[in-house]
Amino acid sequence: MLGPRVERVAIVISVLLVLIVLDMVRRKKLREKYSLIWLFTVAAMTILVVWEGLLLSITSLIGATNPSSTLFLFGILFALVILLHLSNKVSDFSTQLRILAKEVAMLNAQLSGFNVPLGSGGDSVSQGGADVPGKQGKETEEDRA
Amino acid sequence: MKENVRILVVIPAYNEAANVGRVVAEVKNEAHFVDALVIDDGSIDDTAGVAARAGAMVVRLPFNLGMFEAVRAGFAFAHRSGYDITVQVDADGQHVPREIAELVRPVAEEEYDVVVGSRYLEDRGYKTPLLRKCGIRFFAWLTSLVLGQTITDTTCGFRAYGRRAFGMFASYDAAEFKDSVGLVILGRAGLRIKEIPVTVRERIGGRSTISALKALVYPFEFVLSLVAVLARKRLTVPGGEAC
Repeated sequence: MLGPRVERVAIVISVLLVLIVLDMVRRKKLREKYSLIWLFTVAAMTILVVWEGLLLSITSLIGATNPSSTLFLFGILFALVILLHLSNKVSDFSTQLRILAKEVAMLNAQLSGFNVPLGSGGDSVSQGGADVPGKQGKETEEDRA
Repeated sequence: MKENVRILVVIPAYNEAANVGRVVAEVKNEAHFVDALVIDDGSIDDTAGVAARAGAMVVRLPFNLGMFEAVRAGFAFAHRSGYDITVQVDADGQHVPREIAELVRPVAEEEYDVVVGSRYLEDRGYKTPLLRKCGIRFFAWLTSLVLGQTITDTTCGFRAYGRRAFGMFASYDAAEFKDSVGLVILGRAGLRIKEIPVTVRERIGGRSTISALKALVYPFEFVLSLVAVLARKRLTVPGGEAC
């Protein structure tokens, strides 16, 4: 059994989460699209806590002895779903990033006539400074001339 | 060989300033009928500069994307620039540019779409460490089984591709095109693949890019990619050309 205190704590946490999510949407820190999965998660957890009959029937359905295990199970499941969703997004982004990087490289090469002297062309994002520093600036200036 | 066949040698290079100049020069000397393109895969040394001074065209990726993506960038370049054939040559000097003509011939004569260099089709004295040999045997066996055609060397990077073949690399975004899984995709699309024996030299300088961890993960990645490719719909050759 969940005591009334646990119930109150859970409701406070849920309300806080909803407020944080809505505020992030307002400040454009979180897109509406992605806020939905969070709001849905919070709503589902709140329903489970408040509606004790549902929680108990699910508990007996999955064969758990303690209703709080059911809550934890659902909490972990939701977290997993969100993580999977994020991995999916990261995969998409890395694909798009690879495509963009190649496009940028090709445009850069095209701009400099494909014969790229030292230091000009696609200066790397992460290791840009690692080229021979003395020569780099000079050659780039010559390029522009 | 047909007249006016435009051939691009694609050389993916990552921190190969020590070797890439010699490789480009050798390609230009030994295979004067080709253009050379070096894809600098986000090197932190002077790979791009050395390659440009040696007379190659250079495309610099803004950061390291890995050998395979570098090759694909080269293929996309070739496809847009209207080349008929691409040849992939490693920047470390292991491949012999004199053999480019031999590699290209079956594609130029339009008998095959892909010609793969093999270190093992003929014994030319290339020595492979035992464990690696076991791995390559396994990949070769699996690839041959799926393709219904004997492939002896799945990881050799010395290959020639016809326009339809490298066009597929350029058009589809699938990381599985790598190594022999790429051959499986091309084979399933109906392209004709041929293996010919090639000579592979010891590296001129520098170290191989294969780390121990990668070598450990590679077999799993290979099998997973293969299963994923087989579970998907066959890719078709872009442009709707029947084959």
